[in-house]
Amino acid sequence: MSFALPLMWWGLLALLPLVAIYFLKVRPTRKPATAWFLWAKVFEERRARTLFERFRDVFSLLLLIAVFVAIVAAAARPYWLGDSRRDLVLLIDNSASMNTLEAGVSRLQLAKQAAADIVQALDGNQRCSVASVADSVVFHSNLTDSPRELLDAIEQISSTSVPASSAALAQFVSGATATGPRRLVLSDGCWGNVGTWVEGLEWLKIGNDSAGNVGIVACDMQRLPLADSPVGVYLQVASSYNEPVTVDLAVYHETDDRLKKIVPLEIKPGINAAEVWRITEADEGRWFFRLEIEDRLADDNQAYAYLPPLVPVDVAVVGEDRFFYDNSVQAFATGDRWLRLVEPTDAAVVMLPGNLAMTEVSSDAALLIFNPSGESPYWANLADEMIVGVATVRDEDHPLVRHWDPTSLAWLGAKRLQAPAGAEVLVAADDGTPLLYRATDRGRRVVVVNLDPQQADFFLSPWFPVLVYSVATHLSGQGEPKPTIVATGQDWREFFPDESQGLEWTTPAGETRSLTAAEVGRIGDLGFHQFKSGAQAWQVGVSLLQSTESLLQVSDLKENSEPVTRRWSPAFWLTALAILVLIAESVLYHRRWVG
Amino acid sequence: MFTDPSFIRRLDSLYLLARKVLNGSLQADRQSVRRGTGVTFADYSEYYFGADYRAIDWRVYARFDDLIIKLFEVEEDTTIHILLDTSRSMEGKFLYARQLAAALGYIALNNLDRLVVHGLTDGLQSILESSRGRGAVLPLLSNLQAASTRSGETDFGNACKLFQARHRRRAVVIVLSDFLFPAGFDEGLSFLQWHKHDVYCLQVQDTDDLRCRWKGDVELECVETGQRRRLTITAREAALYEAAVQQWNDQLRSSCARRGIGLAATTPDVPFDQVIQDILRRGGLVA
Repeated sequence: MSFALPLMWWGLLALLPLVAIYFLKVRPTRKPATAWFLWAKVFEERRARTLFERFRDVFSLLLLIAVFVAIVAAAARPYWLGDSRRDLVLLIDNSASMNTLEAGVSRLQLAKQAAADIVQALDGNQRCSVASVADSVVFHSNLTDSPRELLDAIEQISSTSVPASSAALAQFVSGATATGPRRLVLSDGCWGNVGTWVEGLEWLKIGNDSAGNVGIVACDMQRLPLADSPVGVYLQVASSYNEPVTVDLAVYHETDDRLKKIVPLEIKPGINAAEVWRITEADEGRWFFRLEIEDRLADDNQAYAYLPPLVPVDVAVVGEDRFFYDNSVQAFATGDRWLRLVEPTDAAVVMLPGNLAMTEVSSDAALLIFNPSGESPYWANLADEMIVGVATVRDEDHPLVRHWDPTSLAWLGAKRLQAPAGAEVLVAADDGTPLLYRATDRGRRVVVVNLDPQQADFFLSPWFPVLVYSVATHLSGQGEPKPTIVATGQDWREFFPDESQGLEWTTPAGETRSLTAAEVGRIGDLGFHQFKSGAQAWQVGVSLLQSTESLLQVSDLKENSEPVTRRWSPAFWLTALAILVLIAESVLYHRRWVG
Repeated sequence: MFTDPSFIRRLDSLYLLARKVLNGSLQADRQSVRRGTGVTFADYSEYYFGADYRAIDWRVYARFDDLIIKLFEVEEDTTIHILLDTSRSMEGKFLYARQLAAALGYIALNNLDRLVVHGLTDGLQSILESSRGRGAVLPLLSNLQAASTRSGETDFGNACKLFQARHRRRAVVIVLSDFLFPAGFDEGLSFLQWHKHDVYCLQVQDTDDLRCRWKGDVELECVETGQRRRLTITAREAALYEAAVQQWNDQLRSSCARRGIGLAATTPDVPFDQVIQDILRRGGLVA
């Protein structure tokens, strides 16, 4: 055993006056006895105990000295030699899975209790700090040896609905040194491959049972053009039950009394195959997907999706031979009206052959140009037609080519040309000649399709209206629809990448904050969040959607924490000893003064 | 305070009560077992040679032809000795004991009895020399007021021997003490009775004598010898002491009863005149 404050031993000097005072104090009072000879009987009775009584005052003094020494020793902050006295950082996992109930108590409460036990065991002999970790590490106290401050910090930690982010932990431990503070994570281990990648962290497992939960781990809701049922739903669930369970998925619109659909699900253990189905009523607004089950984690039983209103794209066709062009627009102008055929002056997108002047076109309208010819700022070095051997798609996920197959076209009538500087070539011939590219000139966005539709019979191809639709929605800014549902823990910039001016964000609780484009804003609360940028406003449904959280994979975590300290510090034992000895002395004191 | 008018008035009240209770003249109020030439008929006896023939009952002779003489109670001048314990053990109740002695002496002097008051420790000290008549009341009270306790262990037996050596004539002896004599009281009482004294005991003990109210560590000091001893007094020790005191007093009671010695026990809590009144109403100190 060693001492953190050995200077406290000087306190033993106070023993000198204590001993002096004690000897003065214990002198018994003198009492006159009128019948001394009658007391002789009493003296006879007590002869056997005389020895003890003679030294009882000394015993009492020795006990008091022992109490004093124990108190001084406790004040000197003793600690066991085997105890590591490195600074300690307690990282309490407050991710969504920590809301799981273990015998009626959440894992977060268990973690906080375990952290409080550690702080109390430290007994002020070791510096410690408290932080919470979910999608980021948040410190709630500085390094301190004050148990009160640490306990208050632990109490401040509240539950969240965001998934645990291994990136946050990795960033936290980056730059850690072996001589730095110990980092002890109190977690249920729902971090994926946490055991393999994190070094420099010690783990204390919270919770011991992962069974008994099902949750929605993926969900999406999108409008489907030209389909019988205009809204498609994608949903994936996961289960930590050991047996398959049957759960009804209830779909509500706006409120709980507007039940739109019930889907019975047979959920197997683990991550299930995705379910895809359609909803015939494509009402805009808020949609709820709820697993009708009471399990151990409630946050993942419901997904929130916001279906925005459908705004048709105004498309105009310029040129003499407009029949097929008009029909391609009209194909998307019925029913849900994705496109709308208008006059060129009102159009957002104008479709025209490449040799036409654009005198009638609105200056801010985007252009879809087929069969380029003549002089134009949107191409250069225009030459003769060429034969395209193999068309190469350079970005298959681009919205302009995502919904059709450019390699299936013959690209007849394509001409040798050069795309303007800064153009984004999406489809090119084998010699590099651009076949489909996107360019921007003085603010006008243009898509050039380098083929002759009439010569290639492209009008008759089913891809023609798809191309028109893709280009029209893309050029009008609707090619990448805003997400209807996002997972908690995401930064807003991940799903609004085009918002370079920042925006105003209102949470489900009604709190509003303004975010600049450079500002991180992670979404934590489940429910519907509203975003506003200029005149535009969107809503998104925020759900947990994290399989590692829903599967409660507590068994995967391997504990590797060394004992922070022994359960009871030497100061505790010394204090307990002092109390016991003091009780013994008080018995002697009682005997001396009360008999 | 013994010469205060108020105190003397209390004594006077007791004397008046004594006259009323005893219902006698100023002289020879006290009954005697001795037969003599008094006026109060006591008994008959056969005539014997040398008897006063004036005492022959001629009526009996006329009727039965026997010489029978009348016997009369002797009306004598009695000496009363008060042995007042002046040992240190009486410190707490010495005032009370002196008040009792003053009351008894006052009555005796007013009855024209001869009164002697002794201080009793390991020997005898004179508090009031042999005195008689009301004129001795003031010296009695003054001397009692001046009396004080003395150090030394009480030796009742030795004091009785000293008493007998000085006063051989039969007398009434009133012992006023707590009777906490280390050497015991039997020897002294036997000695006095053996010499035909009428012995009466008036025991005065206070609560500190009867009860042990101390608890815990104390240093006991004998008030008479100055001996000291440390002792832890628990309820057990207190009970042992109280039982010893009780046993001691029981022994005194049985000893007096066996010898026909009158005994009254009191504590300072009871007013001294009430104690005297009780004694008078009972017809004196009775065994």
